[in-house]
Amino acid sequence: MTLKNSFLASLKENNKRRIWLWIVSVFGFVLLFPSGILMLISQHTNRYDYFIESYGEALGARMLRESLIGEINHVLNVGNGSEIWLLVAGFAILSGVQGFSYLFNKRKIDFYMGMPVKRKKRFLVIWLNGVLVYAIPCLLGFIISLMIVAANGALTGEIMLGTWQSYGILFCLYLGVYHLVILAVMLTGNIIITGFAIGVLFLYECIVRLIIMGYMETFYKFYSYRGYSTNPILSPFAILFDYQNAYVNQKGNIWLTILYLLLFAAIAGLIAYFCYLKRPAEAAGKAIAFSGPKPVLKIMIAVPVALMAGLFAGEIVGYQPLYGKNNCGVMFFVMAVALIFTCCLMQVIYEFDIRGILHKKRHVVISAILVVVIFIVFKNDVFGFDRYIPNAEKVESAAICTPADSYIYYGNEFWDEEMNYISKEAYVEEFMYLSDIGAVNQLMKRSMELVEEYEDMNQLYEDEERQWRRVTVTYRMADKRKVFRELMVDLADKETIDLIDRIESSEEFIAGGIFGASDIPAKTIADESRTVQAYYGNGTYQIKIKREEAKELLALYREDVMNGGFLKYRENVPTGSLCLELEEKKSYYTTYNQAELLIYPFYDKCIAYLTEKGYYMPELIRPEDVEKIQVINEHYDLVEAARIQQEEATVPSAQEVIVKYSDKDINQDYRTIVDYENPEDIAAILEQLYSTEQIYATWHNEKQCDNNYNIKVYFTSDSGATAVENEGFGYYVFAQGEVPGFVEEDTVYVP
Amino acid sequence: MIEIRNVSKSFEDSKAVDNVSVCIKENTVFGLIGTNGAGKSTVLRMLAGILEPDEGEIAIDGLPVFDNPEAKKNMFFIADEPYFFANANATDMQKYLTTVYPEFAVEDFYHYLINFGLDKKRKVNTYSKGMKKQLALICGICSGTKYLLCDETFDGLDPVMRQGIKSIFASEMEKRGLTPIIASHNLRELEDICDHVGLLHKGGVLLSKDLEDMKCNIQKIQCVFKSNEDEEKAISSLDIMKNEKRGSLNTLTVRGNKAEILAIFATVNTVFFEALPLSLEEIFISETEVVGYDIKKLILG
Repeated sequence: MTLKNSFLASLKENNKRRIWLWIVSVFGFVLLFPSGILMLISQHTNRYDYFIESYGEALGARMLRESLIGEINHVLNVGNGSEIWLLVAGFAILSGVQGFSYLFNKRKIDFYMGMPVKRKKRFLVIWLNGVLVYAIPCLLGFIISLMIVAANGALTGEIMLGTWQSYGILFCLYLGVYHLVILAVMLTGNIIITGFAIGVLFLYECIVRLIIMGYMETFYKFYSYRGYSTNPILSPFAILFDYQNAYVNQKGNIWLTILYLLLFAAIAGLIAYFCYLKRPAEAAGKAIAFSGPKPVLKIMIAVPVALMAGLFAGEIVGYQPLYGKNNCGVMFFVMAVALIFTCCLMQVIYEFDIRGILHKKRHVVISAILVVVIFIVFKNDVFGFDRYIPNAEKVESAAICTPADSYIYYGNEFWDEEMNYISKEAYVEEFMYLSDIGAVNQLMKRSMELVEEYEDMNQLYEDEERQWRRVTVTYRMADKRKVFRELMVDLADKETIDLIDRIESSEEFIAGGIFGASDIPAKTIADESRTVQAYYGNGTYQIKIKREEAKELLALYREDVMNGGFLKYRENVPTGSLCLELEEKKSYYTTYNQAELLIYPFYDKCIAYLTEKGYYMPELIRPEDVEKIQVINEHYDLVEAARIQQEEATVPSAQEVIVKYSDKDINQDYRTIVDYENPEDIAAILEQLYSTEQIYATWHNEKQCDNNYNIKVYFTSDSGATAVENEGFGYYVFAQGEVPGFVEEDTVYVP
Repeated sequence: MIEIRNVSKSFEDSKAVDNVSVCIKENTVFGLIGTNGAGKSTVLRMLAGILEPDEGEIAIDGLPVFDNPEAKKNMFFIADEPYFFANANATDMQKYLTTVYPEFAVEDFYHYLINFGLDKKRKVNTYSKGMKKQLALICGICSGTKYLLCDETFDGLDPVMRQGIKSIFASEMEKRGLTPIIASHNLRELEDICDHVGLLHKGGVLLSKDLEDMKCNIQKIQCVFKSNEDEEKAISSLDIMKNEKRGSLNTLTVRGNKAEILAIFATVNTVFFEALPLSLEEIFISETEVVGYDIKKLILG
């Protein structure tokens, strides 16, 4: 018998032992999966009448087809987040465990290892069968699914390509999971322990990351969650999820994903193979196959478990050292219990004997020492993480993310060139490259100095003299690392605002931090394939402007914005805003994007253009458009005072508390409402009114809303105000310290 | 020839086999005797290339055995609890073994199945324990290998079956030089099969000898001497391992070949003299007592 024939004979014989696995695979991939596609198509075709009735014959048929293609694409294309990977991963676990589980059984070991077959060959035979048992039925399933899709007229090039790409990615995912499971089998000698090992291999990195992030958040004042993620690197799922996220943003690189997955699978496979060659036959039935790493393994599991338990306990008992809550007794107790329990449990598992609970106490001691050391490292910031300011010479560039200024979209008006929405943090990280590292470092140093003046963060927040705002700094280091810091900056501090002004006045900040200043909105509205709606408004009135006008205004905006600076913005409130709404039809769906670009009084070119076009609105509200103004004074100061008074009141019994709280004060309505219809009063009030859009933001606005007052302005029906189309009135605000005296007097609370 | 040289094997903290050296010649039936935990199975599993020795070397016909298919081709291992594929019948097992052992004697296999009364279509997991052992032995014999390693395989087989196996062994030994190596904790199980016996105790080899040599070198004599002088003369001339005296009847276990001993007795006057046959058990008792062990406690219960 030739070597090739002998190998094929071995494959065939091995397959005989794995018939049920083939049945599961064929059932799942060849029957169930195409059946799902068939049901999906059937579900859609059943809606044919509804589509035709609702949208007419041509449009309805087109919409139905687009909807069907969308659904099929979702199921067949793993980039769209299809859940088929769950089926694949589950099957890989089954296949890996079933293939090599003979290693758990002494009788099987004696049988197989007594045969004149090289261990390498046996591994290869089982491994290859494990691959084929997935690859062949899955391939058939995909082909049948595509045939079903084609027969229903929904096969497009995109679906075809997406399906084969999915097959490739899923195959690599299968290999990654399969190899990791084989590794788990090689490290253990019992199927239950293998289950635990699979869990540990898949989750360990994730849990360690979670612990590091949790302790950093607990102890570090300047920690930023950016740059830290619970997503493990050493996981095929993480690679797949990264691809899915990128695919949604049309940035998914299929070949790179396949390469990463293959690399992961190769490394896991090689380690598994190495362990297979080194695995002693006597490991069958034991918990862990190799004696040497047992203590290390125990400590490696016990320490994170204890630290994790500490985090949970701290969360429950409210252990927040940064906020002056240092009640860590329960936390330590829980950590100790978790540590001892884990060490004992693992020893019992190692020995398969409950008496093992009393053995190897030194492992508990070593683990406890490690836990204490790690806790101290975080608590006392032994490595100086929280005080770390990168050396300016080692920093290539920096980015600063300041609080959002847009009222309408809450700061989410950033998108990239493909019109995918991204957060402001992600946007500045991608587009802002500040070279004035000295200013950034000084800002950080100043922030640290100011924060250090307080014993804890509660005191810091309660200091009414300060105006604290959160700012995220990203350093791009010369060695390609990124360092993230979250600062508390005080806008009442002169040195701080001067530094911010220095940073914000730079071209780099404007280009990367102010959306309208970048090329992106200009490019996206220039693309004729997109539908663009543009408006200019001030919160009371709104005018639709032409696309060409929007382009021209945007070009002027980009010039004006270069004259901005933090102090300038602080001193002014926007006079209006340019709103852009973009719509783009993709193959089977449509995307919508919106942006609001604030226009300040010192944006001379914009204002000149708007004035020339007759769009400029010098007044927030024209007095002649107002019918009535209703001022509502909520008297939050009185409500708060009553609450504090009640909290401080000494009460001897719970019953009295109930009586005291239930009869008055806190539920009392302190609100006063006054209507103004006199034109003089109205004119005086209008002079001090702002739209919420104008002074909502907390960063660039020095003026802040006086939250005690709600002002309802009732418009005449021919006023042209946007509010008329709604209920005829709009809400406005006063700035703090700018409430007209007569309004204050009129709305005084009289018990 | 199988050579085991200074082989040791430990399982975690306990030493299962300690510096064992044994040489197993071809065309003999080698019996490996020892109590439970003496290390018999460990030695056999190392011989089969399943376990890797911590120290020492094992070679089958000069080839190292661990993970070496060339060496393993000459050897078939029957474990104390033989494994058969789930839901497999005898034919399935034959088909598998044919792919692994190129010399597998398919015709002989079915011939033996019929002779042993085993149904080739019946699932092996419905066989009795004895039937499974028979099937394992048939598989081993038909595999065409030179060496057949049997771990407690004969324990529990009925005498007819043992006789059947014995005759097959004899035939195969004659036909192709089969060398069975049989481990057992029961000396009586091996008495009528083995040519050479190795005694394992606490992981080490207590003795390893040819049964014939042992039988030839130890004689059991019952006699009544005519006078005390005759008795003293005979005893001083003989290498006596054991002497039991009941009244005037002496039962002597004597080391030496039969002719020499008879020559010595020819020089003294005896009232009664008889040379008795020695059982394997008696030989072992005598041999191990010499080295300070009580074999009865070790393997005879």
